[in-house]
Amino acid sequence: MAGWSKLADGSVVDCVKRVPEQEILKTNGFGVDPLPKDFEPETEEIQRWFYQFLRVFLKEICGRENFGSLLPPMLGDAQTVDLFKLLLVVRERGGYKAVSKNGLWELVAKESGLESCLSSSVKLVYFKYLDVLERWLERVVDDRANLKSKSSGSSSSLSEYLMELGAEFKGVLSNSKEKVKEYLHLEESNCQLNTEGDLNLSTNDVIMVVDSDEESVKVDSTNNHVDILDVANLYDADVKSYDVEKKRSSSRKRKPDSMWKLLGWVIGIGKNPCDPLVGSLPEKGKWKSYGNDNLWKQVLSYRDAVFSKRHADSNAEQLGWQKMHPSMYDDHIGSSYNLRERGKLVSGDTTTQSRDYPRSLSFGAENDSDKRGIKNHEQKELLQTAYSVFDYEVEKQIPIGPAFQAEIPEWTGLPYECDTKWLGTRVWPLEKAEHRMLIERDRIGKGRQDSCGCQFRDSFECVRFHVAEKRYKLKLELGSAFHYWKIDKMGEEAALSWTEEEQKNFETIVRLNSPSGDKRLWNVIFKCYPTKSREELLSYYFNVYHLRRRAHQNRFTPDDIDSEDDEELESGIATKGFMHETMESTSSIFHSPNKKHKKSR
Amino acid sequence: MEGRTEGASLPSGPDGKKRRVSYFYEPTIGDYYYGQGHPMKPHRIRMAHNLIVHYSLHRRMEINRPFPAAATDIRRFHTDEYVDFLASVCPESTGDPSVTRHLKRFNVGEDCPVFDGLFGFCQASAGGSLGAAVKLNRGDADIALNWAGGLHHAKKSEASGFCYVNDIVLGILELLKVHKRVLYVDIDVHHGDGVEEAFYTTDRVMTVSFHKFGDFFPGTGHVKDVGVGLGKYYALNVPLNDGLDDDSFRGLFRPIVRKVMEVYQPDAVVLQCGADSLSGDRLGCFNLSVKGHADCLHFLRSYNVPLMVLGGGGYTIRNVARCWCYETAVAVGVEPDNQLPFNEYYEYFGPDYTLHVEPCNMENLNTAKDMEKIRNALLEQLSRLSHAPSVQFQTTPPTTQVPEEPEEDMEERPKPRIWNGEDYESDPDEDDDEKPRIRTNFGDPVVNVHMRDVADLEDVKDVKDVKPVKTEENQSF
Repeated sequence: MAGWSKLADGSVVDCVKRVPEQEILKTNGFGVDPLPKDFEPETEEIQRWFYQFLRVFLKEICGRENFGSLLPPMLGDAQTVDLFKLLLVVRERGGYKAVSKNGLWELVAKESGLESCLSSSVKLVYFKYLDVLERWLERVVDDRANLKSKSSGSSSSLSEYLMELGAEFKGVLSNSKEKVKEYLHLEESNCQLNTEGDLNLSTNDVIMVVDSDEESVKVDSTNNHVDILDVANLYDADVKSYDVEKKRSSSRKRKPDSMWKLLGWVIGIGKNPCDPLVGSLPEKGKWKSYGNDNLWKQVLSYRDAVFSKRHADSNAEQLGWQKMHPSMYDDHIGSSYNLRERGKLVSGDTTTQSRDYPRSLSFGAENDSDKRGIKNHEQKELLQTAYSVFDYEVEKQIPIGPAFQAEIPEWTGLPYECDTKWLGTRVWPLEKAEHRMLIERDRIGKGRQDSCGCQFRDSFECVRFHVAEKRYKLKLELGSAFHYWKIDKMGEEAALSWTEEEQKNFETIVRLNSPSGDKRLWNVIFKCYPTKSREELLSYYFNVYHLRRRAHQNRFTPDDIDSEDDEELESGIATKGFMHETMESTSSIFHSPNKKHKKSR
Repeated sequence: MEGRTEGASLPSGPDGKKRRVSYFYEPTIGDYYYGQGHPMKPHRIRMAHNLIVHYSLHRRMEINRPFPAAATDIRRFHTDEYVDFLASVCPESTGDPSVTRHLKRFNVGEDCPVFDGLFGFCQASAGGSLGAAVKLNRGDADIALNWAGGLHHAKKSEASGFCYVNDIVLGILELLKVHKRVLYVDIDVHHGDGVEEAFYTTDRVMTVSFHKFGDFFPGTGHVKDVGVGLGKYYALNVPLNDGLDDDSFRGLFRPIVRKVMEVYQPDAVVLQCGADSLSGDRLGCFNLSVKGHADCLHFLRSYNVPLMVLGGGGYTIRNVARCWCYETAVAVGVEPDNQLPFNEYYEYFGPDYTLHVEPCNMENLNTAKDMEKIRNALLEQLSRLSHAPSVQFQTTPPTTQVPEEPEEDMEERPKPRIWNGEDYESDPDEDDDEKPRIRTNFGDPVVNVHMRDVADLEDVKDVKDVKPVKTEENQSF
């Protein structure tokens, strides 16, 4: 169960689904491969196959539930429109826009086997049923093209599992692709071919495509770049191996049955996460003792492989833990951040509501999950209108047992005995009165006085002078405690042991190492100052470097003090996390409301 | 004992009575460093300390350097293996395969990195909270502060959310040696999951956490999580939404804590003052001002129950320093000037250089309706506690000879006042409003049975008032 319940990022299903997605698109040749000119999709199978796809597409992506039953659409004179054909024809002419622009609808109508006088109806039908699909296809193709170029060279470290399972997917997919081609080929030569099984498989793949698309297009395109990259990487890998396969043979069959079963299983889980047939999954540590023929293991292993690729240096087990800190110092999006921000979306863009989907699923295997799965739709609606803390279910159970709770000592009422070591070392009040009585003392709680005789009030010099003055006073009052608390090492004083050149260099190093944002900064600093201790360097960083930087900002850019981070942002260190943040803040998705008004001091 | 009154604890209010305050500060705490870019910065504790002494608040406190908690002390809560691991791990060894395995197992690595001096940091943090507990147990202090403590996410054998050792649990376990019932209140923006979990099945510790809930770390803290077994109804969760402001917070905190104090009657209170619930926090999403945050301490202080005050989260460090400095001032009963005194970290507080920061104008997503719903749900849960035949009130023998007819009074005990839903809004000065209510409650003989010691009890009999500040002879525990 742990494997399921701890999954904080994305559904089990979606990871698996991502693979077929791109493949299938390729397979179908939509918008990618040039369509054969003489292609006449007249057989029922192709049409059925296409309509099934379209139905799911319209329902899941466009939310047009009732459209499904209206396929294929009928014109006023009871003539049905062959949507597949129509799509192909329009695509051939450059798409909806081009056709409209060039006034080609009559031609299109004709070519689709309809009368040219029906052109306006055809246009309407196309707009209603196919335009979204067309745009969606274009987008997917674009995305993929972009990502392909972005991700080049990054797909080197696929783990074993990924290879293994990926290969299986590829096998099936290329297989089905070949089947389609083969089918088309046979079609031409008017041969009969029983492609029942393969067509079934394709159909299911298409459903998967649609499912995963809901996330990868809607969600991923908003912010989850990692996912898209993943897909792209996989896609790269797929293409390569596909090429290889093509060279080898065209009639190769690779375990389509097991894949079919696997996919079926995943779909089953997706439909009913609490199906008793699924049973409970063993903890991750015990996976090894299960054979690879277990469907769940294949899926989970695949998921793992994808994850471990994504989190190159992290490990899969840790992924289960929700993270507190949104990975400002990491190169991937922390799950908690996703979770946290997802809630904030609700009041905003409604298209992102599907983000709720993986969340519910990821917790779907927990005991109250059956409700969740069913409530999914309700929840979406609920979140759309109002969002309150009551909209959440209990997500995490508090574990009970001696491994978790503290052992509570019996209350005896006996006199308390304690080790006085816990009282620590008393620093204040001082043991000896030193010379406290001689000094002038400020009232407790006294702040800064407005009167100031400095020539340039609030200048660096003015502040420095007053700080030094106050410091001297404090030193007199605190006596030995002043040193004991290391106040002599706080602030500018920490720079006393530094030469001017050392200070300058420090600044340069920090600045130069900013954009990299990796944890390299300190390695460089340690190397450059072999004579200084780690403490000294850190102390300089916080007590001098940042202080000066702030002093500068306070005077020259008082309206532009970034409250996001005292360390990174103010020092201008553009870590990946930071860039990520600014990027998100512009799209206002990862931007929590309070961060918009960042001029807090 | 001048002016033994309830309510506001600042000189500006009706009660200016001083408390004996003990404060733990480890001078090297600011040198610990979680790593580049990590939002948790122990430096903030040094900044807070600096402000505290520049405001001269030290004059009203005893300040101690904590004794570092040893591995054996930390094992009072944490498992041996986990403690051994924490004590031995260092950044250089993280590549070691055997260590890597443990890193995973104990969730050390990402949120909770291995940094130089990790264990020393834990020792100082835990040592401070243990010291604070001992101070309260001995009756040496009325309020004990440890800003390096409050690391509430740490689990028995797992690090979590920047926390490795749960100093709070260790401190409470120490308090339980003397105090029968300890109340834990958590106002960090994150749920106090580690403490709740540790005491989920006991009624000797009641945990109350106010936190952002819903797609937020750590994911626990649902209003329906109330405890299990003996601990059922002794865990209280107040889920909140983004943009929580001072008024909304006060409107929940006061009635709920008031009710908790009434029905639970803790012998000691631990307040976790995570400052990430402040407006403008780097990780938080509430919109509290420093005063709104400190109002919790202010309120709890007015009850005159031994009080441990701990730090916690807080990631916009200048605001953390402001907040904890101000809360130290509240503890010692001083209202500091808003214009910050000149201090070594002065420039961190520019361009205004003031103690208080205005909250921003972000939207408060906590609707009045939701707040009322939560409040009513929790008050109902609490009233169940008082009406149910509670095990602890009967089984715990009175510490002293029982005053006349305690058992009968048990039945006749005035019904806990149920919050009527308006006094917090319509009553600007409820500190005064507090007085009669508390006095009635504490004046009840049955309640007296549960007072901590003889001296208190007699005082109460005489004066019909709350427990006085412990006097010197009370230290004879």
